[in-house]
Amino acid sequence: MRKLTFLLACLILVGVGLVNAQSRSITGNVFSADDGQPVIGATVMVKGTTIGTITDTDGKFKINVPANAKNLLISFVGMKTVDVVAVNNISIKLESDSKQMDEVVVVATPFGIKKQKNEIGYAATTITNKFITQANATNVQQALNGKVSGVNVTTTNSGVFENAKINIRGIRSLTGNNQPMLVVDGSPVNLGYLSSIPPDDIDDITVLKSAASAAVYGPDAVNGVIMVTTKKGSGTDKLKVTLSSSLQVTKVAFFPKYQKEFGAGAGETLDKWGNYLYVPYENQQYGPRFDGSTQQIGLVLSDGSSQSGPYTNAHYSDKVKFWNSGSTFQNSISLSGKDFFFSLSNADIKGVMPNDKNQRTALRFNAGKTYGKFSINYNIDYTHQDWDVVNESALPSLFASSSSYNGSVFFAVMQTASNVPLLQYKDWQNNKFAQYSNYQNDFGLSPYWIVGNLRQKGTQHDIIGNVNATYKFANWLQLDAKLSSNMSFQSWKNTTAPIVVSDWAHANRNPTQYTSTLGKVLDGMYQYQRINFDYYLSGEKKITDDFGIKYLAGGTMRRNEAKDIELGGSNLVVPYLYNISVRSGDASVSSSSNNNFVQLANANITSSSLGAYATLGFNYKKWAFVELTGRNDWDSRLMASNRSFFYPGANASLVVSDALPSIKNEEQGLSFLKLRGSVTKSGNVNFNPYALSATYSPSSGFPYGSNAGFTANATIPNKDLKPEFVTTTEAGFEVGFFNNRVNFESTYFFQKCTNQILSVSQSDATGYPYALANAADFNNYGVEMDLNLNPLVKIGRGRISLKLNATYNNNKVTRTLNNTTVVIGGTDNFAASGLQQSGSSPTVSNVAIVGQPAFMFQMTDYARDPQGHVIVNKTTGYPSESSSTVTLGRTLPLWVLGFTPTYSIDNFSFSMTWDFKGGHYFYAGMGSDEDFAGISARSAEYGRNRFVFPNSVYDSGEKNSDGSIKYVANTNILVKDGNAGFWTGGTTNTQIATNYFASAAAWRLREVNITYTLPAKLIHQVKGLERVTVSAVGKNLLLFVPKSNQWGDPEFNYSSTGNTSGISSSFQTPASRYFGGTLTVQF
Amino acid sequence: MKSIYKSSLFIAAFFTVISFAGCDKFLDVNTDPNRATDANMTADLIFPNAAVEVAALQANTYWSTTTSNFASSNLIHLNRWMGYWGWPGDYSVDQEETSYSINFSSSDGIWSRYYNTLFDLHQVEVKATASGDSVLAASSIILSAKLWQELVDVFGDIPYSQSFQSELYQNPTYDKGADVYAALQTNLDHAIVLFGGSAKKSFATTDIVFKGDISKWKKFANTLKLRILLRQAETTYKSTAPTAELAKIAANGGVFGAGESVSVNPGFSNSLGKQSPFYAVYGKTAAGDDASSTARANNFFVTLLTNNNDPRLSYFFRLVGAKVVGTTYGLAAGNPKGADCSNIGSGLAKDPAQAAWILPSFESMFFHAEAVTRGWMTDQSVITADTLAIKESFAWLGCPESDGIDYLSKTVTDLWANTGADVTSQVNFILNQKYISLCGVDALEAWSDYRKMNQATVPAEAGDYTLLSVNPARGSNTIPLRMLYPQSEYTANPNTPTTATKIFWLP
Repeated sequence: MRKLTFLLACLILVGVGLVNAQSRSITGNVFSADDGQPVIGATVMVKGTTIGTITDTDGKFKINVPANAKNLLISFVGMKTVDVVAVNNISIKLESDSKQMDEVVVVATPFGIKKQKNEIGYAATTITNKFITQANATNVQQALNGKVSGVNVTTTNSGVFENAKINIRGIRSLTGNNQPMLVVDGSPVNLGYLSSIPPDDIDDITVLKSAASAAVYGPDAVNGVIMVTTKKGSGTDKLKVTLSSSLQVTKVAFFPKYQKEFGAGAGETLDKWGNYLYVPYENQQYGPRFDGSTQQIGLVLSDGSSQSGPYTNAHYSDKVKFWNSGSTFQNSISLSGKDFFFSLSNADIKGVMPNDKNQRTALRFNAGKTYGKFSINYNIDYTHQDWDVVNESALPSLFASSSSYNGSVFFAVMQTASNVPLLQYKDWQNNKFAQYSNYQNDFGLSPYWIVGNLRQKGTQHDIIGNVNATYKFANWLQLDAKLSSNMSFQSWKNTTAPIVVSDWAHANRNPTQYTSTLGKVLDGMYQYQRINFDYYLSGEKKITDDFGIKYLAGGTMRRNEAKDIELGGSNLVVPYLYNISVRSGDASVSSSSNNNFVQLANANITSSSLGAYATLGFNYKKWAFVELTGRNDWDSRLMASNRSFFYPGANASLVVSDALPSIKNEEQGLSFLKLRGSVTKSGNVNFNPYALSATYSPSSGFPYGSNAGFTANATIPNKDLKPEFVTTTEAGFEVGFFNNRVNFESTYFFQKCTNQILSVSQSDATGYPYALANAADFNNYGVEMDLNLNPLVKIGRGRISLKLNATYNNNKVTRTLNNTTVVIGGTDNFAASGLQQSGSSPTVSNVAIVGQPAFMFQMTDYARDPQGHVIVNKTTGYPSESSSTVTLGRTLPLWVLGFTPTYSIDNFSFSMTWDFKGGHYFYAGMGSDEDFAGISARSAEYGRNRFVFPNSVYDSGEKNSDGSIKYVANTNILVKDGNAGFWTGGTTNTQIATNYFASAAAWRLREVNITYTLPAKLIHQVKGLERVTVSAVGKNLLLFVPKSNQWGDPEFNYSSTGNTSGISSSFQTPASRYFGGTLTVQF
Repeated sequence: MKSIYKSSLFIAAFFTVISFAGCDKFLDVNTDPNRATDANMTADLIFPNAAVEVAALQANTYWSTTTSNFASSNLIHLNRWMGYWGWPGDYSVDQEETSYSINFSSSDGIWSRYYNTLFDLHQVEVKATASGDSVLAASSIILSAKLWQELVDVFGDIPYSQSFQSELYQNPTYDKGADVYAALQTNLDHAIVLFGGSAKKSFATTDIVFKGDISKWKKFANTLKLRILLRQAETTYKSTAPTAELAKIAANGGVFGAGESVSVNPGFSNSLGKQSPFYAVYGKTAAGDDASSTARANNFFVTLLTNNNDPRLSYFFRLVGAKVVGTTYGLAAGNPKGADCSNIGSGLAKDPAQAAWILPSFESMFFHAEAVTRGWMTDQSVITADTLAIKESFAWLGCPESDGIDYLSKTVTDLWANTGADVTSQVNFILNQKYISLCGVDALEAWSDYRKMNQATVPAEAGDYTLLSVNPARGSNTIPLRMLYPQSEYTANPNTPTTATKIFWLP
């Protein structure tokens, strides 16, 4: 940050007379009170004159002052201005000023026109590099989490890619994209790229929460913008070198609650009293209670050998130890010269999943040069990732008959009985009992075998480059043109090892799993490029001393091109040789269905858009600002007659404390007050190219020789689709007290979202189960608040400061097509994508219903009496499934709170981030599978004995006076079978979604971090050394959830991009804790 | 100053011109280069797949979803409900299926598969008609008629007249089953008329059912017409025979006889994904392993056939050692493991390249035998028609007739001798023979006969075994009479009836 502000300081000084005659010379040093480091680029002015200079890279300055000069004013952006007596050899300490820090500029055009924050009529938050690196985040999503009001980051997995889902101010599209736009150094880039930017390269991140920014950024900005500015040249001749090294360790945590009392068995064998006996090869754990006796594990093998061990839960801990300590080892070096910045970084990531790894190397070069009126800036960055991970998506199609449920590695681990020494099966190649044919479980695979044999190796190259040329015709007019391009090349190969089953296993074991299959491969390549050409004329002019205007008019052209190739074979004949050409029978060529929100397979995809926009701003005395905006877009994805759409906007801000200086009382009262407001409309085309026609796909099996066969795909689109429109109204204020030690900022926003493009379920009898149409409207509204107490208290030299942020966000559906319930997604989609497939798992959907929030859960429930008691059968004691589904609970949080207290003293700082999300619910998709497998704590709630279904009633056989059925409370009818009979029964248990539904409220200690900067005295003993910082961090340390949540971290979601929320499954790695440390050395 | 102003105007104009002159061309990139649309898709590209789907539905198999669980995309549970198949002991019992507790999510898959296939056939008809190919259109009408009737037989009233007009009817109303039946007769008559037109030369290759043999298509239409009539024999036509319809059937060449099976074979072969659907799911994988770990002989059926000394048993099921070993349906503990009981036999899963049956010859001959029994047709005696149908079942399974001489000459004769002289008893006798022949072939037809004749076509017990599931949680003493409308319909179509009415042809 300091380097950038140094440049700014230089600019500010343009027009300031630098030298004066008749003077004396004064030298001095400027230090930061925070860390004792020299402040580079601080402005030193002679009070009451225009004479000034700036400090050099060592924080030193030399200034010639008039003989009569009395005082010097030393100022620096983000620090409090100091007024000192002008004496020679002066040493000045600057204290940081949090309020001013926020007043830095935000980038408000695609090309980096900067604006003072005061000018902006909508909410924007800037996070500096210091804040990012202090948190020791391995990626930017993590850095944003809990720090900015209105920003909700959801982790989807703790794998080596660390995907996260980011929503700013909730949602604006029911089924389309709700993820913010990412702009890196002025180039629009896919959001997924965010995780591959090395945090050390980042100068600052600005989050524009408002849709108002869409006026210049175009439709993609309707969900807010995350603007990342990478470091530029330092502006000084001295070459600065920074080395940084960090290590982060990941440990699994927050498992669902499991039972630890019962072993394998599913009622295949019973004792004479009907109790379930132990079955040594079962996956379901409905066997007898652990009793310490010695029991056989698995079958007696063909050579007569077998395993046995104590029948206890001694090996429960194997299920935790199965997971590795994941690690992220990140090293970077950066060089920063006068007009360039170069960095090279490498991250070596090992997952908690055994054998999963990812390596990321990134290179960045930013530079610029000015020749008179012409200046040019260019940057290029290149990121390369190489990964090798387990490919769990191959599990559902592993066997010819998918009636075996293997779920995922997580599930395979968890459904291992607690008397089974899981860790001993690590060597699946050589250990006799770990080999495929001999594994102890007849219905569940060894997780080690899965990890060793289902793999994905992939590599990805991303190149982003842009050139920005500026010609300044005059002070009041300049032309900017920018060509930017980003390209991504991805290539991956999924391999599934052949299964070779021994003759013994073939003859003696369950054929579902003990059937030989050939090796499989899927080889894919994806190439994407986006080219943007942007140009605009802009300038500003002072009409009078107090009144000025700013103007800008420009256009943008964009072309997106992508190509995808996916070829595979499930019939590879040379064992362990994974090449499509080495096979018997046909190759498989993935074909595209027409889900309009999913990437097409084996396809060439092109889309283009044009935009033209203009803004006109007025300012008065630097305390009143009004800006009018307008933009028209043309989008190729729409029908020619609908393709053009216009959206206007306006925003205004008023710095009341400057307009009415009398209300100010810097020390004891109000020091700053700003009011702001905006109204903006924006349009967005929320579907893929080629979505306007119904399509046909080749059917599986076909072609047979020359016989081709096609089938109609599932969606019929309305050819006349229009863009989705969002009208955002927001109003807010920013206020500071006591010399800005207390800052508060709040914004109310209301977004009217119309013309929602939805894939609406319709009757199969229409021929198309889905129709694509402008089918709904909804309102999204809320309040966001940030409170900053800096410092809260000072204890001696120590300071405690506190940042609080809170967001209340709600929404309401106001219209749906034909007033019907719109199903957005849910477990049906699971089944289709092979994510969840055990026999009788519940139906759970996210739905939009008029008058309700988007989204609500709709799910299966028990049949209940009018009072809500579960009705049980009078003879069996079993409940039954209701014929209709219930609508319960919202999917998105109503409240998101963040607390970041910081304690700092001298060179040491300690901070924590706590956050809370609440008011929403989640469905634990793994719950029914865990009950089916008998591993959940729930399934052992009654000790596997018969029990009275709690809070139940039964039909007395009599009628009430009004003719309705008379239900009586059930106090004595026990369920017929309190073991597998009840717990694995679909209508009695596993098919009832409400059994796996809980509040998603959670308090979380998201982050603790400790930073220490070595004292300057110490490090200056080493020549050239400028700064040494060490820090330690712990993340996701504590989690507090309500008792009703038995399934662990509610934040995990099975999908990272879709709008379906709050549906977790066992198809993910367990949630994790992170611990790490960083060493940064600067020369 | 002025010149700068001018030049900036010029530059602005320049950019505006270059960006918007080529605007339309720049933006006209939305024609799909990847997928076929209605603009380029033709009827003869859709027909072969639709025909294979009809066969896959018939045999309760489905390509990508080979799950054998209840509530999957096919009616495989009818094979178990009708006493043919059971679950081996190494699987925990499916509580819903074995207790007959059908629910609203049981039929999502079945419903959508039927309508998907019907929609493809509808598109064939529309596109073929538009291009003047009346013969191809007629073929798809005939295949559709089979599926429409089955939908009525499974669900009762269904969306029919407003179906497949998405732009007009997003929420199609439900037509009465009887009205759908009537419309199907009309459609089949219309199809026979359409066959009067000339077929395109390509029809011989597009038609992977009859290789372009139009006389067989007409016979197929007749056979389906008879099937529709017979289904209503206990209600609509209880007292009056449908003479006019029967006359049309006779006039157009009658129904299928010996050796005339309807089946489809686009070129099945023994490689992954290319095997004949039934073989792929119940036979062997391309690698030679058992494809099904769950479909096993049912003790009820095994005993029924063993008691009658019926040699077809070992064609319906594979031998384990020297005999067919069954499982008891609904038994939670005690059934043999999958490897120790009989898998599907070679009479059904013949070879990976076998043609996929849509309607086997013997089934049509049983239609004929029932029609004869009811006095609707008079060209043969009841016992002759019955014997011929049974013999055809032997032949279809590949079971030498010589092995069945005992069964045919003694058992059938003795049983027939003990059958009452009234039509109902005789029909039950015929339909019981039909039931036995349909094991694993067409459980839906067997279920329909069973429902139509008030459960009299299948004995309640065979030796120690019962037709009904032994699951103690079984909710009722009868096999369900219909499936419930799927959850997907309740979610998406407000016209879905909320009360289940009796299927119209049930007595």
